[in-house]
Amino acid sequence: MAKAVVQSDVFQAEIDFLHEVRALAEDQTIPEAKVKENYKALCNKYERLIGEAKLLTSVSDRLHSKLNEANEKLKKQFDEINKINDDLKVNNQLLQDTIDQLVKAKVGRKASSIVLLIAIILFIISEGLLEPLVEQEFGNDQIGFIFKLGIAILLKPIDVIVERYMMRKALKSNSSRVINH
Amino acid sequence: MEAYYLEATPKTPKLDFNPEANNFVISGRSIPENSIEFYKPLLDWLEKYINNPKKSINFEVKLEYFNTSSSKCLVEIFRKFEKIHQAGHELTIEWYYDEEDEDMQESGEDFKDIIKVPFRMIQNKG
Repeated sequence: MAKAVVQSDVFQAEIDFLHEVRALAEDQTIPEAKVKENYKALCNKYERLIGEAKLLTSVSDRLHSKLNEANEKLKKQFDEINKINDDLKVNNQLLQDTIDQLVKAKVGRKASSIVLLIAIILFIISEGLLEPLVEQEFGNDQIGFIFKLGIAILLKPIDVIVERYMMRKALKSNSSRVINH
Repeated sequence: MEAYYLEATPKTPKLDFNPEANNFVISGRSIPENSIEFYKPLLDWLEKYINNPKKSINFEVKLEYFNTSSSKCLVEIFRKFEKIHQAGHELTIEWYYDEEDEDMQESGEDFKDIIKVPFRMIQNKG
C-alpha cells in the first residue's frame, strides 16, 4: 500500500492535470474556442507524457538488465566459491593425513630409539649384574640365555607401549596447538 | 536567495545549487528510498529560482547510477530548466558519463530526446 502511494506521488503533476481536464470536460459553459485550446493543451501534455513513459521504460529496462547481470555474476561467483571450498576441504583432509603419517613416523623413530636404549640397559643389567649372581647361586649357565630371551621377547611389547604413549602425547599437543590458533 | 546544498550519501547524490554561481551540479548515486521526498525540496527551490534566474546557467549532471523514480524526478528538474530556457535565458545541461558505462550514456540520450534545452553529452576522461 505504501508503495502504491509513493508511485502515485511520482505522477502527482499528471494526476492533478487529469483532474483539471476532467473538471473542464464536465463544464458545459465553456465556449468552443476554449475547448479547442484545452484540447491542444491536453495533446501537448499527452505527447510529453508519452516521451516520459518511453524514457522511464528504457531506464527501467536498463536497470533490470543491470540487476540481472549482477545476479548472474553473483551466482557464478557463488558456484566458484563453493568449488574452491570443496577443493579446500579435500586438500585439508590430505594435509591432515600427511601430518598424521609424519607424526606417526617421527614417534615410531623416537620409540625405537627408546626401546633400543631400554634393551641395552636391560642387557647390561642382565649381563653384568643378574647373570653372575644367578650363576653363582644356582650354578646354571642356561639361565643367562633365558634372561636374554626374555629381554628379546619383551622388546616388541615395550615398543608398542612406548609408541602408543608417545602418539597419544603428540596428538594431544597437536590438538592444543590447533585450539590456540 | 539561499543556496541549496546537500552532501552525497551512498544512496543519494550531491546537490549543489548556488544561485550566485552560474553552475549547478548533481553528482553521485541516486537510489533514495523515496525519490519524491528527496527531490521535493530541490523542486520547490527551483520553482522559486525560476522567478529570478541568472542570465547564463550551466547544469552538470554527473550521476553514476539512478533508479526509475529518480529518473522521473530528473525529468521534473529538467522541466524547470526548460522553463528558464523558454524565458530566454542561456542554459546548457551537461550529462557526464564514463566511457565504459553505456547505460548512463543511453539514459542521457533518452533525456536529451525529450528535454527542449541544449543538452551536451560529455564523456569522462581517464
